[in-house]
Amino acid sequence: MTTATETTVTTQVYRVYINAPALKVWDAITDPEWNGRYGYHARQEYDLRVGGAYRALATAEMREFGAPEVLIDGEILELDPPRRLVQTWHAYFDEATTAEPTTRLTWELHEGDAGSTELTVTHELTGAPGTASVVRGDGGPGGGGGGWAWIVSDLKTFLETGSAIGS
Amino acid sequence: MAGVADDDDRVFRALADPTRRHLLDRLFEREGRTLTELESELEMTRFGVMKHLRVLEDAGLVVTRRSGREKLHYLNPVPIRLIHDRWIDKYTERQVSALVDLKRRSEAELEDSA
Repeated sequence: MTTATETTVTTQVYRVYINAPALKVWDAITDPEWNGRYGYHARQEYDLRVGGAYRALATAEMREFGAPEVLIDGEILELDPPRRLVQTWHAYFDEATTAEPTTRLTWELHEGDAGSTELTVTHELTGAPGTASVVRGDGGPGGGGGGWAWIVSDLKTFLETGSAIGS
Repeated sequence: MAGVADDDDRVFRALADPTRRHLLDRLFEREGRTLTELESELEMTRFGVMKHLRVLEDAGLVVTRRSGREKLHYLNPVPIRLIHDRWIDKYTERQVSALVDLKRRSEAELEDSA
């Protein structure tokens, strides 16, 4: 039996191997020139310094469905290009996610010998069950897509073939 | 592309066992579990659970993280997503286009008979 005292430390981990050097993967994540071309196609701005701001901007299509201009915001906590980026991450998808506490997101890139990169996305979602559900892709295609699994899968396709599924 | 085929083989083989699917279900319900926690829910020796977890880890379906003295196990759904994108979408697309063809043909027949 679960009790009310059970801790709700919720962490999700996503790992993918991408046939591209770490620097290219890093750019695809942090450079607005690239990060709006796969997944949900939301352009993301990173002020790449510790304490710098992060913003994901809603696409025109998302705005039509009532999404706010800034879909997600956050702050950069740790920065070691092209290996490690730790940031806060607060989504404003709807009332529930807006009301939840800020979450913490870690990007880790390890370049292997064959020039491919192991990308691990760790999302700490303590006290944010609504956000956790969205980023896990619980809504399915009808409920806004596949979350992180879909995003990193599309990022791999984008970097390896030059075209994304979401496009 | 041999690497891709090998990766897929490992995922399919890992998923072909009911105990391993059960382990993934447990991790889906709650992420970040220790071996001891997982072991307590299965009628199996610690060694048996370790062996299954190793197969899942090799297939990329389980990722482990250290937290103090504990090793925590997380479900990584990305390999399943990649198989979905590569295989399932391909076949469901064909079904959809077959239906579209059928619709077009019956519409054309209707026009012919009109």
